[in-house]
Amino acid sequence: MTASQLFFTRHPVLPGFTLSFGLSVLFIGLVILLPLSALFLYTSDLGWQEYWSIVSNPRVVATYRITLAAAFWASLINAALGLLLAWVLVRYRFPGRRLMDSLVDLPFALPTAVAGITLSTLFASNGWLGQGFDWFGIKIAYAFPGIVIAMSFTSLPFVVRAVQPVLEDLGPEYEEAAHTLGATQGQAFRHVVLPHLRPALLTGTALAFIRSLGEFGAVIFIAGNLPFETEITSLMIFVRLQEYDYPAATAIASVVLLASLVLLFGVQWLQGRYLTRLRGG
Amino acid sequence: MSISLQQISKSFGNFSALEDISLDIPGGSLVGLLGPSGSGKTTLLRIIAGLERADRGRVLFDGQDVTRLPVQKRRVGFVFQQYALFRHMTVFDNVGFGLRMLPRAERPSREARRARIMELLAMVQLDHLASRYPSQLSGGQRQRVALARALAVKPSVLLLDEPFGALDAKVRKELRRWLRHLHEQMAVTSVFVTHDQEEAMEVSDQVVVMSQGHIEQIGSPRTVYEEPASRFVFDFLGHINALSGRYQDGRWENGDAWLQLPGNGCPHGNLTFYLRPHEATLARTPAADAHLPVQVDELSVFGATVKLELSPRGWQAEALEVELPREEFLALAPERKQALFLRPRHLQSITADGGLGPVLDMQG
Repeated sequence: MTASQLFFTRHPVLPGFTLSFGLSVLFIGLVILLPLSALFLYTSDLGWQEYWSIVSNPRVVATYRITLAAAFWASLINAALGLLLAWVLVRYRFPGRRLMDSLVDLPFALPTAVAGITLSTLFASNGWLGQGFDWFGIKIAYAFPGIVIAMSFTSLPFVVRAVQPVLEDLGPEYEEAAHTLGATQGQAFRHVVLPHLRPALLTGTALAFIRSLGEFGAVIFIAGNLPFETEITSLMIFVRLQEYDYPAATAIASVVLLASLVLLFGVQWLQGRYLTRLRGG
Repeated sequence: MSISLQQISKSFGNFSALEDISLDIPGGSLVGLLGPSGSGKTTLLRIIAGLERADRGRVLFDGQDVTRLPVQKRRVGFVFQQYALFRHMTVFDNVGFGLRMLPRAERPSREARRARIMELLAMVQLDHLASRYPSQLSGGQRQRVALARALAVKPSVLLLDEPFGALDAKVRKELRRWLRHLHEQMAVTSVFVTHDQEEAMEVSDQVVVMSQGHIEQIGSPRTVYEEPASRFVFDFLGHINALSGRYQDGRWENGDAWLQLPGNGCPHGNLTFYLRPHEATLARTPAADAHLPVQVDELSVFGATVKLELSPRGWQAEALEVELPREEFLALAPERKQALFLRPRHLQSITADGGLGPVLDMQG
């Protein structure tokens, strides 16, 4: 890259570049980068020793473990269910398909707290669904499975919306080609459809995972929030805030943020590598 | 392997794609299904492959009923219109896909597969691109990979859906000849679908002309061109000039134009003649039995024949087209805007109900 490209002295052909670029940068700066720097600024009040003792506190470490495990299971469930849902929406024509398609976005539209309260009522041991599970001695609300369910509810659209366009793009002739070459339905899916969907599925699942790591509203109502058992990291941040321990809250938040950022960039990198292969060049 | 279709019908909703199609394709031949879009040719090809199931009728391979046999078991090679190459696999893996999908007991060893793949890639002249991805290939190369992939499993029947449709004219010509050549080497029964008459005429042993779910004519390219069985076939194969007018007592008229046709058995009333561009000549004077005044609009002087676009003078017709041999053109030396007379040699009459009437030989 030459200096002229770096400093935009070569003006783009389309008009309005200066204004639109300026506004974009301002927006990103105000809404995303400023709060982020404030977070690190708060954290920087702490020495390394203090920082380490906060983030490695046994109760906090337990929340990492619980959050990671729940997010892992939630994304796994979503990878499977999201793929199935996208498949049904793209490949079949049935009455109510449009309604189903718009319902997929509901978890994004619904306040997460409302989702959390609804889910906990449903899955409580005396709730509609919870009763059934209770009968088999399975506790869902106020236990670990409850966290998984809340997380998968809020992050399902990521997988569906990532996979859907790719699946639409993949016409039925690819499977047909596999069939004419002797592949069974299963083989065609495993060797042709799934590899095509893999990057989108990976991105969607990773986004769902990242979202689950930070989920707060939906989870706290159903989790029960018992320290060392059903307490998640974002609740831990909230607890520290309520104790007016801002440095501790930001320290824990910085750990979550770092994990999310690393994941995000990792996904971007993987996807970029895969796309260059598909598109040639 | 011979293919026999017996009374195949297929409809999609209210649309009847194929109606009562019967067709016998001898083993080892190369057959072109020719027709405009919507004529059912692709549906027929997909029914042969087993990708589509006929509502009625039977499909036989070498006398064996395969109507209910799923596509995987039919051993057909199918080349899709857009090739449907697997984008995430290299050329090598694409070609080897069919071999890898075989049940373990039948699957050749890794080395045998490799040898077979490289042999096929050498045959389609792409062995140097084995490790490329489809996105890195040109259209013609993708087409050849698709063909190699279809041939890898040694199919008993090769089916091609508009094999040259997505290619530019030059590549298309090359590949046509190459496919013909390949077919002579391999002698696998092949059926291809096309809407391009030239392509069907050049490549196939037998042409099946289809329209609106029916077979209009089956025959060698020469037969369907020289002895079209219906108006549709005449119309569809090559350019035609349509001369429509009224016929009464041995005389056909359209404005200033007339033809003297004594006792030829044409019905009275509205009568149209079809005239192929090369079955007429031009002169400075009218013929004794044909008075068709025209004006030269365009000339294209390249090649062994010269194509002239004409417009009628004092009568009604769509723009006319005539092809003259080069010597004839030089002898006449026509110029743009010059007034001349069209002298047909061979006219196909079309009756008012759209059927084929008698063929007339004129003085020319």
